[in-house]
Amino acid sequence: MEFNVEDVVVKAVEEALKLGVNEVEALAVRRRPLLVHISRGDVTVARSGEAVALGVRVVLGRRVAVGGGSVRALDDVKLMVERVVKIAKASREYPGWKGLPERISASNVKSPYDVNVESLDVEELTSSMLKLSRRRDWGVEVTDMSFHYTVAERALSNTSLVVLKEKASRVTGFVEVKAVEGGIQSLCHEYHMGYSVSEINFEELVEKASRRALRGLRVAGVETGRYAVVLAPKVTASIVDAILSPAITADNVQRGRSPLAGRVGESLLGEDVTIVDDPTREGLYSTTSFDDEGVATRAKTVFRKGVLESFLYDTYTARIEGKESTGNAVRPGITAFPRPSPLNLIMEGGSESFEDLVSRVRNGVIIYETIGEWLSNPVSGYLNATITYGELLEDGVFRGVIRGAIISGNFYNLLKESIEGLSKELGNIYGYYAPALMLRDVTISSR
Amino acid sequence: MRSVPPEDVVLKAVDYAVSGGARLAIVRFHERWRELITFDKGSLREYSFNVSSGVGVEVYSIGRGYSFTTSLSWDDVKKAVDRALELSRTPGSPIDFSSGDSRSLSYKTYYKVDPFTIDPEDKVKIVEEVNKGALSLDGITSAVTRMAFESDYRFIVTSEGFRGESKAVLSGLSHSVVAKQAGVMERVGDSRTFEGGFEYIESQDWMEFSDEVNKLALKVVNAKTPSPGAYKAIVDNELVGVVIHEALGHASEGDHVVSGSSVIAGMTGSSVAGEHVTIVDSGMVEGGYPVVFDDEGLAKVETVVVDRGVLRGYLTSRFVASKLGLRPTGNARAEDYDKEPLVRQANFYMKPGDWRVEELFEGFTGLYIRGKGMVGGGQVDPGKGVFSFSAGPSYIVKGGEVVEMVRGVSMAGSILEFLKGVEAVARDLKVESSVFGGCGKHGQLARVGLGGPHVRVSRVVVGGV
Repeated sequence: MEFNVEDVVVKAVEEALKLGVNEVEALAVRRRPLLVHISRGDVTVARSGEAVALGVRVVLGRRVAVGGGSVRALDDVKLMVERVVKIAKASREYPGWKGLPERISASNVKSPYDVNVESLDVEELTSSMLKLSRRRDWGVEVTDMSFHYTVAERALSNTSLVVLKEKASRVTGFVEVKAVEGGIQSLCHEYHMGYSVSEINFEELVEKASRRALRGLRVAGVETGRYAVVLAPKVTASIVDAILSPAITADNVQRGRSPLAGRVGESLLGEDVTIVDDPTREGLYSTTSFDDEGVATRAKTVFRKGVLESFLYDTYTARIEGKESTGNAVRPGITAFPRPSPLNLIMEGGSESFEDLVSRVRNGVIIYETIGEWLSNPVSGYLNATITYGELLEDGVFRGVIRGAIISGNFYNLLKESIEGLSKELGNIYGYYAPALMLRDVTISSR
Repeated sequence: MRSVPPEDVVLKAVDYAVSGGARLAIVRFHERWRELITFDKGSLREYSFNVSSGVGVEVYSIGRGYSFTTSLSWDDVKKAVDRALELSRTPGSPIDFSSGDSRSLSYKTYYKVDPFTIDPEDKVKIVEEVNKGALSLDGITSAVTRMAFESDYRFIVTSEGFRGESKAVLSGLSHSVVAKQAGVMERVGDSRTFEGGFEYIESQDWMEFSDEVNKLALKVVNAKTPSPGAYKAIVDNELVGVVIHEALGHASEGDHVVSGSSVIAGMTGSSVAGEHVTIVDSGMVEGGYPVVFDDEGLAKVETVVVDRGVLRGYLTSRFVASKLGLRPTGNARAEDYDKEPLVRQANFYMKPGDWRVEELFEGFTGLYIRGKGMVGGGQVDPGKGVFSFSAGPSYIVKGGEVVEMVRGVSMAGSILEFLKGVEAVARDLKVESSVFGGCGKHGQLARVGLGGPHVRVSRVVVGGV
């Protein structure tokens, strides 16, 4: 395509100003992804392509609208802007609207871009994945394996006509393996999400998944009751994403949908829990130098030693409280209104290794895989997650793997009163980073 | 913003792919319009639109390659074809596919009033009234009301001579509230989606609809959570579709069967469910989402997955059908032009049985699990055979009598245990689709129809504290 993302945002801003808007903000993204998927030794698809999309926010007085979509040619931009302005004219005044950021800027952060991603030899990559997927010496079969990257060029401009630009890469490697013995089958998966090709070590992923799949051939049952548990780092991260992430964003706080409203300064979690939001930390998944409103990103502490210190703000929610944006404006889709969201939400680790935590469990469950944690209720803080791989320990001895039981409880009570330890290793799902958590007296429901 | 397909470019791309060595070329122009109006706590929070359009190229040469572009210029589409061809030649064993034919299929949602031509003010007024109505009630601390419209247009041509054109239009409204009482906060939500235009929005009494949601929230916030453990259950006809979709639908998607990561792989002909259970995946059903042909240019055919408890088949794409030696079912669906088709459910639902709903309750003690008011959905791990879902406000039933409402019901189960535990199936089939959500798989969202009648099952596991 014969245009770049800077051209797109500048044209959008100019067209909107010609139509008499008071303020305008344009965000354009060019994405170039690659996907290679292997199923049982067959390459079932290889995909790549190129797409450019634009999202424009316009303000007429205090009436605001957003729109846009795929950009096929620069001429599309004018049509998109005209439609957004038309909608803004019919819109309502935005209560408490005090404008877009007056100036836009970026922090001095190295964007998470790996130059090797785009020069990747797809044939070589596919060959090595195929070779690995056909190996049998782990005692398992590799059922699924995929490699996915996206290179995204992002440009943002607003009424000021200053243009910010950033290029980032995101990489995910995924494997699923199956062990079969005596009519029992045991599947486990492992994945890594990062920004650099060098972070994806398929052999290591297969090894980890295989170890669990083989142990999973031994099936255990568990009675409904209260147990000591260790949540593996990625399980903790996904629970934090589901329950805490919505509760610490200022829009939910201001609109009565967070149990943390009015509780800044209170000790709500255990003393060993410190949670920061840090888009400036180098090499992490959501590292970025500016947010989706062009506000420079910065690190901030959300919980310090269990005490709630601050929420995450975009410009709109910050100005309602007379504050500065924390640089957390994120558009859930390019044509959606920005709203505050975490950008690298990190629960800091403890001093023990994951293995040390596990070795302290005499009777309990080590939970490595769950589903449905996103069905928890962030408004009430009520956690529900279904265990799909949990190792049952009795008297410190592995008794088998449980699947289909539910862990539940009030997230805040658990993290205030039940923490026995945090691992020093962190795991991540997207931009949510967390250690393993050892908890006591967690309700597990089963048959 | 285009309303007619770039037919010349699509046809040229098919020919170019074949001349470049493709054994099969499938070129799709895909354009999706979407409009969303959100009122949040009494004020207009978002009025947005999105027009996503582009060309996707799928080719089979040695392997299967897919590429796309948002540009409609021949140079860019040609580059996309070249990329797809190149990717289809990546190392690996040759990939085979089931053939289609040269028929033409077309479908268009019938609507009287195009929702995208309606004055924005007329839409905003309805959403505002519903939203502000909720906030006037004591105990409701937050309300989010959304109105959405979607037009999904696909034009597909294959090198086999297939031509398909479809335009599905959805219109809907959703309303969710948070109620607070004595320090407890609870969410309740509901939505209605219609396949059609703005005439459906105008025909509804949205205040009555939202009033039911508001009252349910004010009631359930005072309810207890259930004790954790295993229960006998009656699942209502607003939730059973989610359960069936998660519990069996994903496991019956043939790509999971091919990879060996489905608990029902290799079980065709075996009993997998109670004898009263018949489950089908259909392209067209009242209340569902229309799928007349799939994104690989194959007609969608009604597929019987379970017939009176016995597993009869899987859902397939061209590759999966070929690999498993099955008839293609037309279930290869893509979210957008920039995604390759995956095996997806269309309208996966349980057929009605013979019981009256009241008969399910006779002498029943356990949980009556309802979908009404549910915020969330479900998830499954088809390989491990475990599924999970959240329910709306539900009820404890003793001796056939509803005795108490409970909140925060989250359930899990084993796919096969759940299906085999279905003891009774009622007559009250209900199938629904949603313009606000759908089914997620490998990063792609698909609109689907979900449904079934009330069912009684011998055991589900419920979380609690």
